[in-house]
Amino acid sequence: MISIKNLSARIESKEILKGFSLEVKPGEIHAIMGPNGTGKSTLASVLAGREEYEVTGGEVTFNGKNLLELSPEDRAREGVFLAFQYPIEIPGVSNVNFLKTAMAEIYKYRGLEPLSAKDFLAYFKEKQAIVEMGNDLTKRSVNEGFSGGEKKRNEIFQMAMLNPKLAILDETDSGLDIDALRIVANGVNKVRNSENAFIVITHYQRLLDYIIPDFVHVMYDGRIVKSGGKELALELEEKGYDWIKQEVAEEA
Amino acid sequence: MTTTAELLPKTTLQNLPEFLVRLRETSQKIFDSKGFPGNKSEEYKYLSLDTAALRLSLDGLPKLQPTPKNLSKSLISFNAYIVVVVNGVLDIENSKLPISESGVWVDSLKNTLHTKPEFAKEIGHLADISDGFVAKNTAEFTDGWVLKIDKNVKVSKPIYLVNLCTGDASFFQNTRNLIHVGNNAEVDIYKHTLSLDLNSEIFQNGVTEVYVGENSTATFSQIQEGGENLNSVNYFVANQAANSVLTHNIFTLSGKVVRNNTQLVLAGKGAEGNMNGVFIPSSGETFDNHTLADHRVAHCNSNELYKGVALGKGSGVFNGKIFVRKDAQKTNAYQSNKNILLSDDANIYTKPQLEIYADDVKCSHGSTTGQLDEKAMFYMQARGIGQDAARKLLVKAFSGEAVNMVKNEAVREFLEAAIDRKLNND
Repeated sequence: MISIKNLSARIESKEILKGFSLEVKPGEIHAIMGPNGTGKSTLASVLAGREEYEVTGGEVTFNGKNLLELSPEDRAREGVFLAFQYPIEIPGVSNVNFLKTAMAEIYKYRGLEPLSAKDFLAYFKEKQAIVEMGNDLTKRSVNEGFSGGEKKRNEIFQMAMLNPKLAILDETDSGLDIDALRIVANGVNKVRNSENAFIVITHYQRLLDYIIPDFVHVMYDGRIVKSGGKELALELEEKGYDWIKQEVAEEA
Repeated sequence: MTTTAELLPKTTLQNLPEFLVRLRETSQKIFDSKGFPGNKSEEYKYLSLDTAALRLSLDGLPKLQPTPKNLSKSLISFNAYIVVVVNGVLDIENSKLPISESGVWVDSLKNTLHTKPEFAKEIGHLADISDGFVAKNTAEFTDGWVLKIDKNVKVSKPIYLVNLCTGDASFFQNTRNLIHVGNNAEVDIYKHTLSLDLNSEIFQNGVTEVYVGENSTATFSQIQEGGENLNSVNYFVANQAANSVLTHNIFTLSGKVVRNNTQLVLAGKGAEGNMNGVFIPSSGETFDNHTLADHRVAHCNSNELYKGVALGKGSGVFNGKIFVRKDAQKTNAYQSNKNILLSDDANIYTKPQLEIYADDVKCSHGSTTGQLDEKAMFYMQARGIGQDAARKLLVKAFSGEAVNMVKNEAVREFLEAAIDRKLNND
């Protein structure tokens, strides 16, 4: 699905990703954990195509295409989805219109006829149920006046609507209470299938009780320094990150 | 391109009330001594009116033009009375006038001077002839339209005034319009300026005077799509009696040089005046809005919202003044102007002004000019929406705040589509 090799990137003059590599296959869920400031969100931004970041080395192949050469919108149209850590409010643009436009653009790129108004509405309702989003939220402007939890639910709702091949969840669990966390995790589990894949960036093991990862990676200083199964997350929860930092220091 | 071909000499208006005859003489003197205001005038400093266009004033009027057959395609399709005005002349044949509705009356100014001399006496009391364009208009207006809503009449349908410019001749035209909304009356008026097969440059210098009666509710929305050959100065002044509500909306979407002067005079206690606008100049276009909320008495409210979007090398101006006179205690006056520049070569000048002589008032104004929100752009792109579509959605949302002030849904939809087209052509 996606193959990231030796990816390096910087913002202004600050090098943040330093030879990051990761291979994700269809059907897999990868969790990326790690202390603050190790480049987790930068990775998500670089993969989504945020312009402020300059890629200085490495390559990213997404289903055979050079992802780094694509515009942000073309990455999305190819099937990459980023659930934002801080979703943006867009006053005056309704959720419905926003998603209708997004789907029309994605379908056009893929050479498909857009959904009829009736089919779109039915599809919209079906996905709404997945994240328990009421009409009161979906009728409003995109994220405008939403609480933190509602914004995150809206990200998962959009993900369900756009049905990506690869979803990158950037700290989607931060700021969520336990009920919201459960709703978000349920949403992910309902969208997940053998054809798609997830990269879940998180600080806390808590989310991984609900979204069971196939692999857990620890990111430190711009790259992955340790990988394991879901039990690694539990170990990190218990022991913190200092032992990892120490291991890295000893290797150097 | 300008041409003086096919012009008729200007005719003298008959049956002018005595007051108006004198006012025209005074106005002529004022105009002769001051001329048109130029860039040196504070009020017109950002307006580069082509001197060639102004010289058109020396010429006569165009011959009567038949209304183009394809006109209906360019119009807003909704259930309304239609008043078609071609090059300033009322075309009764192509209009759907409210003849069967009692208490609603539309006619040309020329006819009104004969048929309703009492009503014609209302002309000339509101417009300020110290403004060179108003002086010129007052001295030389040749015709226009007149609309009267009797007291207690709630007009059953919107009134749609089509101000069509067409033909091969260049000319300068002074049109004079009058609206009278009686006490307790209600009316929703749309004025749509557009050009079809307009092959030379013209100049429209229009003055509209409006009386809004006690307890009445009126809206007047202008859609301006004059095209590249239209220069226009569009002066609108309304006098609001007690407890009246007037909403003036103006959407300037195309034209060469368009100057909108909008003045609401809150003259009766409890009156509410609203002014909203969207202006979207692109390369070769200058759209200049000057507004005045003139609070003359106590307990009145005014609200104002203007949104500017400048494309290409387009140039826009917003100058909004809130004037609170010393007797206008308990005034609430709010003004907001927000602008977006969609290119590095576009510019918008904005100047909010507060002049307050009363001490117990609530007034505020705010003005911002910036680019489209880059974070929102990226968020949309990350959802697969291309830059063009994202830009359109954001501009639609931005202008929507003012577009939504329009009552009629069909007109709102027409405006949204017209704004989309404008962005497509950029």
